[in-house]
Amino acid sequence: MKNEIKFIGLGEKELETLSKDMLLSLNLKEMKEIQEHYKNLGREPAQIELETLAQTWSEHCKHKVFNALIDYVEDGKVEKIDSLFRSYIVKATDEAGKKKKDFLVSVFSDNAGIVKFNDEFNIAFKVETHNHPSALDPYGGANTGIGGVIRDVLGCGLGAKPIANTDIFCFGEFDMPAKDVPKGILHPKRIAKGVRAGVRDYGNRMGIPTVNGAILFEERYLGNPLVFCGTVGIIPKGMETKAAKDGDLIISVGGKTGRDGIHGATFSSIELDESTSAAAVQIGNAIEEKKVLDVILQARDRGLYTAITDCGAGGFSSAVGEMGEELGAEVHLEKAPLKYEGLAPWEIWVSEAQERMVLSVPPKHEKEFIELCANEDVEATVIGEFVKTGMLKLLYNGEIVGDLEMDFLHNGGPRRELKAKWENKKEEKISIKTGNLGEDLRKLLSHPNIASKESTIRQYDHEVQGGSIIKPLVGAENDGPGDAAIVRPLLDKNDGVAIANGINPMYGDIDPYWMAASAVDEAVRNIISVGGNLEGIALLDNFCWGNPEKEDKLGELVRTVKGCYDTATAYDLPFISGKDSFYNEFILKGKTIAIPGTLLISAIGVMKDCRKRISMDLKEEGNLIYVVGKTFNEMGAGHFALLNGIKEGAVPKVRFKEARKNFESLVKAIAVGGKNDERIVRACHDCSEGGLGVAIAEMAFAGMKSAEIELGKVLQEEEIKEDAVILFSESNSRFVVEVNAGKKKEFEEIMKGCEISEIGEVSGGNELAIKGLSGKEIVKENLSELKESWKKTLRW
Amino acid sequence: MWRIEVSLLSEFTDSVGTGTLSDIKEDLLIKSVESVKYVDVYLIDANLDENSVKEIAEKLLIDPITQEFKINSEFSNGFNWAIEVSLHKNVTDNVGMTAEEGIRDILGGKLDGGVRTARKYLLKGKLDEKEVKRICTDLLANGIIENYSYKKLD
Repeated sequence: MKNEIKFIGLGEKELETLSKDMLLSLNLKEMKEIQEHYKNLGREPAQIELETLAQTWSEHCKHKVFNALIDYVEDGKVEKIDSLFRSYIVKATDEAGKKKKDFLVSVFSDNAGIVKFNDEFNIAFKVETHNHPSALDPYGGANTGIGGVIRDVLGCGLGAKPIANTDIFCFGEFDMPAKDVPKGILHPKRIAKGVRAGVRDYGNRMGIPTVNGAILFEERYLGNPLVFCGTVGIIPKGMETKAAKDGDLIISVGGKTGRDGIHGATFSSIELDESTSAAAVQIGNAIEEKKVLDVILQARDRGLYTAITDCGAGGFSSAVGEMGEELGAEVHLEKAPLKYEGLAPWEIWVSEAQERMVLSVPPKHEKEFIELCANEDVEATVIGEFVKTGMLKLLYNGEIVGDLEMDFLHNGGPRRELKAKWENKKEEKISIKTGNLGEDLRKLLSHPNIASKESTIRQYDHEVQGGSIIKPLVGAENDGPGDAAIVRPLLDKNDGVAIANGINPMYGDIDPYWMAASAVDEAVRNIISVGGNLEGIALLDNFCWGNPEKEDKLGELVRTVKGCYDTATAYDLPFISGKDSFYNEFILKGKTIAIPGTLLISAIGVMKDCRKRISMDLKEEGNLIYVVGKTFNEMGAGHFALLNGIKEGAVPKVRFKEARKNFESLVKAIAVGGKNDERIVRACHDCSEGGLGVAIAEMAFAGMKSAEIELGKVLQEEEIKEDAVILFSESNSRFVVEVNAGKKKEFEEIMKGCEISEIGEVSGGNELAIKGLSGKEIVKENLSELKESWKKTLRW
Repeated sequence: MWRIEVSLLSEFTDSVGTGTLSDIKEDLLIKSVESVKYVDVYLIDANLDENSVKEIAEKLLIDPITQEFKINSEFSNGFNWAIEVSLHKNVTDNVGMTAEEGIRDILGGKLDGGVRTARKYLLKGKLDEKEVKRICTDLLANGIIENYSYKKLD
């Protein structure tokens, strides 16, 4: 065979060197298994075959860590974990699925997870990360991150139509002095602006509203910014399954192939260093993708193809390999349309050029499909066919350049065996001397993680497609922070879908288990705050981690996954899709800087009647203010602690049973009534970063309605003796709720048996007034000034 | 090689220019820059006569209500420095590729060459060469995918 690599005679050292030199990112065990396979075949592997194996077995495509056998030691106790993915994530979904009949449509098997929306449609949801490319080229990295996740949704089932985007970013500290930024790294503010512009240009040009997101700043993200891009899609019922048939043509649709982003998939298994090259940079073209989207939805409705997938990491190799897994395929690489001459066959095969989809089209539909594409000015080219041989045969100008067994490609490869370790730390409750709480509150509102993201949100189109019911910014002056977005995808129906996220990596510095529980709890709270319910919620899990070969890092991951499982099962919530990204570490002058292990939980909440929505801004003078949930002394790793350099304190926990009861009752209370004066609950806000103090301040200045509350009335753990703790503790499962003054009895009746406390009322004037435990007024702040503190930090 | 520069008419707000100005002042802390004007550059490497190039500029590359163009000459009036940023030769230039398609439409299918694009920034203010270079490397051009050049204007 052409371009054979000398392989079967190599020793261990030489195999390792070869893997490194070819950028295969395969470890010795994997290289030896490949060697064994070719020894049995009695020939050397072709270069293109090694590239295909490396891509298919890459971390990006195979999730080797989540499927590994792990020896986990917690406080000296040994536990054998046979796949984190199956033992926790899938298990949680199976258990939830038994209780939510018909809700789960397609989970973990496709490019995106799919759940039931109404009798005619289902909802697809996927969140991807695009971290490494965004570190190198923030604009292009974010651009192609969004482009990729949109194609994931377009390529799930027989194709879902994207209806909303969500984007979550973690950056280094934006106000870092330029001279402190190491060589080879872009300044965090430059990365932030580039990423924002990339998301903006791609999402806006595609005509997809960006409705939800979060931005966090922390010094450990300096060399490894995280860019999470998510898309929600809608797909007609019955279109959720696909299967290429023997004899179907393989058609490449959309962009041409160039050298863009070769080795992107294997690149995700490599730690970045100062010499990382441009190999992983891809350039996005939103207009091209919009044309592809339009043509595919037409072809889908005409039934012209049997399967579809996106050409993402790994390019044709990944797309054709996946679609033909059960069959076999024959690809004529010279037929792929190229951007320019001179690409080697293997480069065509693994290129990650953007805006390409691969479809399997029965020969009888070939003409109609190609014509449809031509009419819409989209390039469509037959590059081969699926044939029931069980082999992946690659040809270039009639000559065989690669011939791989599908079975070895997809089922070969050794399982990874890893070690993990976790030691529980003793937590101590801390006492905080109460100083000037008004000033503390203003400082918290100015903290970049809490501060208004308006300058970013306003660059994104969140109105296009006309279905945004709760927008990212709400309130009297359209500038308050909405908890979750609600989108109504079918304009003649009242079904809606709420979109939210939970992320709090700092909690993981104390205990990743509670970080995970808090993230799930926060995402759920956000959905409930806008009028969603537990029954309609599905979750996505995205993990961004350091090097999993380090025992302590993997130990943190195991703790996190256990937290995900326990919280999801406590609320009967399924995970429907997810993604992991490892090796987010940067080596600088010999020192490794790892990101904090970061879990993003994204949630969608299907709502039967989105007219039952509710926003977080205070509405009417005289109404009552309640806190739902109990406040504990949990200041550890919270924003008050971060601001004041406090390292101790207990991390916020979740009391599953009480939390669930609170959630279920609050959902009922929010759903009562149609018109404003019939409703019991007039406003509801999730109590999260910055605790009760920040939540009530945001509600007041969003509605420009003053509030008076008393901390002594807040339902709390007995030992809390400080105002600052009640005000700023970030205890989970809490909401601040505005209750119609005339509906007090009804509210308390519905909330019977729950942890609620009436803490004050919406009053006249333009101030937030808080009485401390002593009964004296300890905070009196002008709402406009509070709002300005909140707005000024990120006004760039 | 034909060079077409496209710029906003002066009565319209140049949002890219003003955004770049505040980035230079706030992020790079170079306060001596007074104004920035942004110009799109199209480089057409093809056998065309001047009339065709004029037609391409008028029909394809500008919005006649808000923009003006120059062929083989440069916008520079009243500015002190010009910076030009373009993608490396081997990096896909989508705007250039789209321009090629548009040109083919105008010319009835024929174009024996290609189009590449560049972004040009005109800077006014008492800046020294070191500062201009820093604006290039720390703000406008990403060395991994882009080249830059700058020149002092009289």
